[in-house]
Amino acid sequence: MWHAPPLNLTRRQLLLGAAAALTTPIPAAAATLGKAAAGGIVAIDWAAAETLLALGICPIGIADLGGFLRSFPGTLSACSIADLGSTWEPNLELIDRMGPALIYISPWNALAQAAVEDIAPVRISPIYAGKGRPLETARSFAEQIHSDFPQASDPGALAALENRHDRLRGVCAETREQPVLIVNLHGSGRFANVYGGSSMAGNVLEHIGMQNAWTERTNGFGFARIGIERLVEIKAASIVVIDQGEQTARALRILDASAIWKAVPVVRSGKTHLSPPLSIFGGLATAVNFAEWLVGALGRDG
Amino acid sequence: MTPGMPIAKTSGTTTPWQVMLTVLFTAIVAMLLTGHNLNRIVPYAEWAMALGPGSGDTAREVLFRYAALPRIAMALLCGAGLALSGTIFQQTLRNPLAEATTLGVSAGAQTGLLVALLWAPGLLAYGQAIPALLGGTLATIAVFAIARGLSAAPLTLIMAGLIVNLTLATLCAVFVLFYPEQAEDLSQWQTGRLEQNGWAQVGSLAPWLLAAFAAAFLLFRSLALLDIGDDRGRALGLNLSLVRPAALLVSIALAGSIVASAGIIGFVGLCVPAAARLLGARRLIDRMIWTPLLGATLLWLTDQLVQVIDTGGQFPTGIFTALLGAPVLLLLLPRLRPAGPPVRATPTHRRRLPAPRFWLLAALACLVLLVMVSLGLGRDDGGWFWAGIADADLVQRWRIPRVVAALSAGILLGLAGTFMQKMTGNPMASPEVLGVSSGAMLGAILMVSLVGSVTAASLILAGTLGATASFLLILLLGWRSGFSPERMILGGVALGTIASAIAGLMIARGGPERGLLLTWMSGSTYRVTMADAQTAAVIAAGSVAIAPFFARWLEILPLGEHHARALGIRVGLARCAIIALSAVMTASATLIVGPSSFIGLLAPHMVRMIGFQRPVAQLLGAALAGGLIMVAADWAGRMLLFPWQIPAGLLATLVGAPCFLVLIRWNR
Repeated sequence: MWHAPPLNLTRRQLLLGAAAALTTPIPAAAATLGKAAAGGIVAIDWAAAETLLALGICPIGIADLGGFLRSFPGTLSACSIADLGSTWEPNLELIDRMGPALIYISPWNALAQAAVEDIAPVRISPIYAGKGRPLETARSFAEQIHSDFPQASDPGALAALENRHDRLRGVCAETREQPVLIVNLHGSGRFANVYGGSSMAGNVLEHIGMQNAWTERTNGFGFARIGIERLVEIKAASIVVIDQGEQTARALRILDASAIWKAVPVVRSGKTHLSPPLSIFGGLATAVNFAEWLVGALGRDG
Repeated sequence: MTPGMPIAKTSGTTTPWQVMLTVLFTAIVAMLLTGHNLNRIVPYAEWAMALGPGSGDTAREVLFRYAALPRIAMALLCGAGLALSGTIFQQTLRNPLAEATTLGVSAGAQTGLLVALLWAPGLLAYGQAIPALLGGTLATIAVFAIARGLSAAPLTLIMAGLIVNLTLATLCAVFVLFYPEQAEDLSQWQTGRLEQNGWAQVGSLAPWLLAAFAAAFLLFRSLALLDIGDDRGRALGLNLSLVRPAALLVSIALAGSIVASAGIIGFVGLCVPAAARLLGARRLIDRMIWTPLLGATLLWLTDQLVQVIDTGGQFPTGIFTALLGAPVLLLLLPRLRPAGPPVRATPTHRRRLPAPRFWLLAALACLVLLVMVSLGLGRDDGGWFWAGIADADLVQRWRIPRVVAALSAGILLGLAGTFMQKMTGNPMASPEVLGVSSGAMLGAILMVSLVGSVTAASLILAGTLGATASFLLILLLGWRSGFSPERMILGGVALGTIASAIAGLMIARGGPERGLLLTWMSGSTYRVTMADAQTAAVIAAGSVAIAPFFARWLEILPLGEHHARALGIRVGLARCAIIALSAVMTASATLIVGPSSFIGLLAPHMVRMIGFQRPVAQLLGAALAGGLIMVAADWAGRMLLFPWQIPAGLLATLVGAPCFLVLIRWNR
């Protein structure tokens, strides 16, 4: 049984936990895991799952494992991870049987929080909790995880990630191709989500020293849904299309024939860039990968 | 005035001046607003050049030609199409409330598009109209199958439509939740948006509209004959079994292709035909010409108004029409007297069980057995297993609250459904038509959008407040009409349509609120705590205890108001008491299993068809049946896709609806 001071486990919880450990059979999934110490982490939130894996920690279970692997294609690891059911209704009985020591949930799982707290201490993944600083939060979240699980995490992983992050600060400030508009095209080719300053993508732009072309109102995640025709008027020097697989491919096929798309000044001058596949709701690793790709793609323009 | 009125009364008017002037006035205002909006893109002075042959080079000219102008065309097409579709629906079914959204056609089209996007994305490359048409047709068939045939009374059909709508909304919510990485694409048809980026959409929608107009005028003579009634029409050589399906198909194709290209634009098909009738377009020929024109100019005006108000371009036009249309619908309610003869509650069959007490005990035994299975039998990675002593804690924490909650919700909905069906004398009445579930949903939406992050307790509080508010509204509405069942049902339908339109906006906008709302709408027992379950159980037990005291009212009310009075019943008081109790029962059940539930309709029917005819036997039977179905659905939902879970309310509907249809066939 893992326990650490930052979690403030009360004596009663510890006793209950010990009693539960004695009475319930050891779950098969946990038993097969080598690192028993960190074996008890369950990630219902995907950004938390990505961060854990990036720090070399194996969660014993991830909600909607198939969807997670599709959305985070780079995170394949050697861990044996159980599917916990959907991200919105993970199977609580299954999680309880696994006997986790800590559970990461998303802010939008708040409805189930009380129930999940019955199983083990709960941490709400803070990155997309609406504070408007996802990149900073992602970094401090990774640090928090690292200090929570000092033995379990890969010692060099966090430092390497933070190094990469720090080296990117302001490197594109002199680039001429500014401001940048980051879009996620809908499959219909008629609408796009554009990312403002309080989104993760917007934070990344700011971090590498570039201006964001979208300064208008956004929703709680920092993006707005607009019609494609609005791209014509937005003052941007380059457009970054976030690759969402089949959906993006379908949109680009449709837009190739669209007079509006061809009239977008940036498209005309050939300054559109297709990102590598990446998740919109990722953690520090996704953000750093995206930032490095941005510097490579946009920095070259300047 | 309804399409069901005889010709003799309506042919007095000749030229519908009022509607003509309204169309003209709307068009002028729309034109002025359009000028204002277009001027922002290209100044007035340069319009001629922007439209000229050599233009299209500057970005502004491209916006003018390929975004602003096709958007106007799209608004005109969609407005005309929806209004025509509504007119044909209403004429064909002789039902002033029939239109694409109330009949579930739009929701069906949307579901068809989602299914195609998820499992056959290649199909969408051949045009989005085909999956939309298929989905819309299937939903319409389901509505008619539930309402038993084309000649169903207007209210019956609308109630069947409401049930199909609620079910499809839940299904779509579950799709979005099961495929979070495709959520953006999945929610694109949720609300109607008219933004265009070229003439392609207009080009693909226009042929559908032209074909539909042509077909409608080909069918004109037959449609006009429907006004004089089925029997006389048949005598004049009207082939009803051909005309009705053909006309319906035309309206479905119209509505479906509009959903495919613009998303759901609510209320146009309902309000515009009603407005045109009130403005004097009474003869069918007038309605078929002036209603589409009025629809086209009104949607054009609305869409331009949206662009004036929201220059950021983030507000969907479909929401605006719903927000504008909802009060219009409520204003129209008193004028919309449903046509057709009242429906008798009890069908002619005389099957009656010889010993209801024995069967009730047998059902109770089944229920006990089922509860034991659903508590004991579970799955984990290895496979199936019975819970042992070591699992007692897990069973107590994760299974008992859900089973108790499912059981209580089932009992409550079974009872409430029986109450509603007996009171209204309408076999299609279900607790949802009270609008209490919609009120709860609106409360929850308001809470989520105002506060952002919520807890389970605050959501239940918001839902309770919303349910109470809508209940008071319904009582107020009912007070003035002596609790006339028809008025209550229409109010409930209006509230339901408003709630789903607003929910659509929240889902389409994305952001953190979407997940919260979708999980609540999906309606599972997942979040039930032991305290919730206990509360529900107490309310359920109390309701079962009180219900028999209503037996005399329930026995007499279905005979009709006149007989009831003659037998010394205070009809208003009786109805008020029944509605109050049903609202409390529905609200508590809704807060547990969400707004979609087929059980309130299914359970009372099942037991009546099996042969429980007397009120007390039917009430207890429906409570037992509702409990059985919900417990079974909850257990199956936890086991089928383990470790994934299917919401109990949805599973009960998906399994229950076909059973219901089979039961109806078998009973004929």
